[in-house]
Amino acid sequence: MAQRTERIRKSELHEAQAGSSLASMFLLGALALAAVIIFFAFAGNPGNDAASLLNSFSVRFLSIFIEAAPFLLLGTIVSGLISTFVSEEQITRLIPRNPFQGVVVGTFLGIAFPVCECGVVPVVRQLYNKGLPISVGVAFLMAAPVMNPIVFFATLTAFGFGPVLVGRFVITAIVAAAIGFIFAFIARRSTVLLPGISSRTADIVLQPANTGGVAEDLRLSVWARLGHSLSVAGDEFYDMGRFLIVGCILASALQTLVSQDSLLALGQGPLLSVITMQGLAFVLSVCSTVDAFLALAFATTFTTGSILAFLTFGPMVDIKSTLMFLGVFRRRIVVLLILLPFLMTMFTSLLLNLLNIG
Amino acid sequence: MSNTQRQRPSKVIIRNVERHPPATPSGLSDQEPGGHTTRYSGLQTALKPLLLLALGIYFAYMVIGGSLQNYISPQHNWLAVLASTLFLLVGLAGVLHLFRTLVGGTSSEQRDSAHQEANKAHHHESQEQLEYHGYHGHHHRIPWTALLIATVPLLLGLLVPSRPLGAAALQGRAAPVEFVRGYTSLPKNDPSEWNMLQWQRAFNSGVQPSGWFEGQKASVVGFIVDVPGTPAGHFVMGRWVMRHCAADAYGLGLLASGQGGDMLPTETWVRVKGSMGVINLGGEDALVLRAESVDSTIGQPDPAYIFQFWNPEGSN
Repeated sequence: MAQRTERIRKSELHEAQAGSSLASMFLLGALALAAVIIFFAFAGNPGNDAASLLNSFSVRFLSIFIEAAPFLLLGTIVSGLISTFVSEEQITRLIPRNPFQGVVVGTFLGIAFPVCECGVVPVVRQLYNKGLPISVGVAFLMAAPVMNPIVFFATLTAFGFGPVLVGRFVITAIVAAAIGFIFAFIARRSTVLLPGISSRTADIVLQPANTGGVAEDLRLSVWARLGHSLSVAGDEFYDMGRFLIVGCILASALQTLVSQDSLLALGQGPLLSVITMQGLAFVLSVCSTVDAFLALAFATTFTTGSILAFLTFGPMVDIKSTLMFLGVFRRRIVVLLILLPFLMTMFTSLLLNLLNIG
Repeated sequence: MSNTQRQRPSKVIIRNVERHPPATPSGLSDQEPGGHTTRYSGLQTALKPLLLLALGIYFAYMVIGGSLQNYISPQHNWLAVLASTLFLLVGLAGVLHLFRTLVGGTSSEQRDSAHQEANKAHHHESQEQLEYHGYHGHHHRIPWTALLIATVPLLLGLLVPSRPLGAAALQGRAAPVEFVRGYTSLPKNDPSEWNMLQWQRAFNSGVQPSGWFEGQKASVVGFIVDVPGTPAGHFVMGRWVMRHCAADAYGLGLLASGQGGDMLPTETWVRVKGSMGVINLGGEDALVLRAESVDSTIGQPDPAYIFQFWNPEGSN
């Protein structure tokens, strides 16, 4: 028994390291890309000296970071609080039996549980363990990163009350619910989930970070648990913050160094702008609580429709979440979970561009 | 447990176990059952909260010192205050925890290994649970790249002199005309007080015909921008307009002429007084400020930006 434990642990650690080094590779790759952009910019910008380019870059970088940092911190603190104080039983009791009603509830559940896209996967996995219907979990997975108060206020702060704010929430709700409904038709646990997810015995090996176990240990005082939440929040800030900062670097570098004309060429084509923003959202993998501020950097050169593609597709699918999906769903289903949001958000944004809305 | 279940352990543990992969040369879980070692995380346990505190102090410094306005529009200042508070809070929690770990000393380590022995038996995989039960032995680890990347804002903020966007950033980046419309009626204050944004919006909104602008008295603040193709004797004044933050700021330009303005170096802040005119530039009507005086001693105004959503009539 102990031997098998050891082997499981080792393979999990190897996978953990693989996942961790994958994330690190991505980050280093992104930074390398930024360095290349910077190099070519210096080569192609003889008029501007290094100091003024650095200043422009720095100002833009810090401006995005200053606006985004408090929301990231809020998100990690709330996530820490949820992991410490809320039990999954409380959540599963809220779900109605009817799968279609369940999908609708799942779509809006994020309002009560503001989790970053990174926090949502472990939560859903734990809920699946407790028997949550597949379709409801998928709807929650797709919707929760956007449908919560923190993202609402971040988007409101960045764009004010307007088509971007409204569009983001309407499109996300519709797309998430639609995907949930699709899964209500096709889903059988055995074909969708990885083996070992949907049975109780898996609980022993698969305790996630956000287990209710901490909450249930009433021996610890509220203060201790609060302190624990803050500790978790601090670590999460580093974990998530690196994606934000790399995203800021890339966005600021693009803004500072790439000519306005090139950006406009990319940003005004009805389909090209959408696909560019979707690609950017996937690669940058920024937390949904702060991606609105990154999108701001492109507000002057990209269409509203494409900005909405960034803000609706990114929270559903990116490098980070893809890695995490692979830990819950079978590979073919993960492909579906990427393709469906991609096509749906592309379609809605293309439509908005063609109708010249926003 | 069945064979199939054992073969594919969940990868979602990544997020959990990733916190403390003992990816060190000295080896993996053969060292300690929980798979983490105290030695390597000691430095991190100290650095993590300190960096958070440093960020909190940096934000507070920007708020108090006023350099915040180089980056964001004043309606968002509360965000920086909030960020500073939260950074200090989370950093402080980490420092207190670090203190407890140091002060706890051997007794907590002993408790730790006792817990780890117990945990081995009913294998708690969750590090949250592990460190929870051995609360004083907190050995979360994050990738070192994460720590390094988190220093970037601090490095940029402290090493690069804090200045607003200027003429260099404006090169080839003036906003499209569609940006500078939106007036359904002219601003309430006297045109002689209008800033560059008000002039351009008034002109491009079409509220008044071009002829109305001819001869209007104006006094406008801007910085000199070098624009290739500027007609002889003319110069271009630039200004940055910020909506929420520097990332979404857009540049304005105003053509001016006379009084030696075309001899001034780029980035010089000037106040130009004179009367407005309209000329045809490349087939389109454009405003031109015919200078009666050019004052290049004014220096950078405070604030340097025109804040469209905070005080769109100010900063002139």
